[in-house]
Amino acid sequence: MNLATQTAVESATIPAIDASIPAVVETASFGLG
Amino acid sequence: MIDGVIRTRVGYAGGQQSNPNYHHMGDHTETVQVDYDPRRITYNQLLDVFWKSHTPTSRSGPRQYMRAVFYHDERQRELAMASKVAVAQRTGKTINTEVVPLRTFTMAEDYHQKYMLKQNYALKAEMTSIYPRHQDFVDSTAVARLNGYAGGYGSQVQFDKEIDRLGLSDAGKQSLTEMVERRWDYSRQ
Repeated sequence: MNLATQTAVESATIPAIDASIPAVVETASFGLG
Repeated sequence: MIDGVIRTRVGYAGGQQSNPNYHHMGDHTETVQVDYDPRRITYNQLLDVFWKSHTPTSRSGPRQYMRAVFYHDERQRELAMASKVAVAQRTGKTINTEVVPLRTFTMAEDYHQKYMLKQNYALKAEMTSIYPRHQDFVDSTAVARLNGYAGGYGSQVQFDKEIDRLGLSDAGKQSLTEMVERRWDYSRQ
């Protein structure tokens, strides 16, 4: 599978909500008991 | 479920023992870590959710189950401490929830991650076919949202907005829809 075909397959299967994950995220941590 | 949260993971934090695990946690605490989009939700808003999610005036349990904000840097420490003071002033009581440095975070074992989703074999299978590598599965926002719905969270408005963006097949969408509608029907009774 060439790169263009592979990219097309991957972009077709990745959920739309994951395709829009921002590059910059921040992290928080909690102990919930 | 909170808009702006990208993903979550569970693990062990706050202690000094090296290589903690579920059976040998040492001085660490079971911790949830949240990656969020700061353009959509602020750290202060997450703190608000945290304070409302437990009773900070009740006595703390063993360290494994400590209620705490684990701050990552000085900015988070200042905001967390200010929010704790505000809760103390609002309640007029001593706040037993801790604000402590994160130090380290160790991912919990795979079987603890996205636990609720993994109880639904059909939905889990759909997502593992997209993300066969477990770390990719854990990092997926779609998986995080599905785990939330499987755990009984999420509103109908959120569901309607994102059902078509979660990467599910028609059968998967049907299964998820039936799951959440059963819950909404029950909560209306």
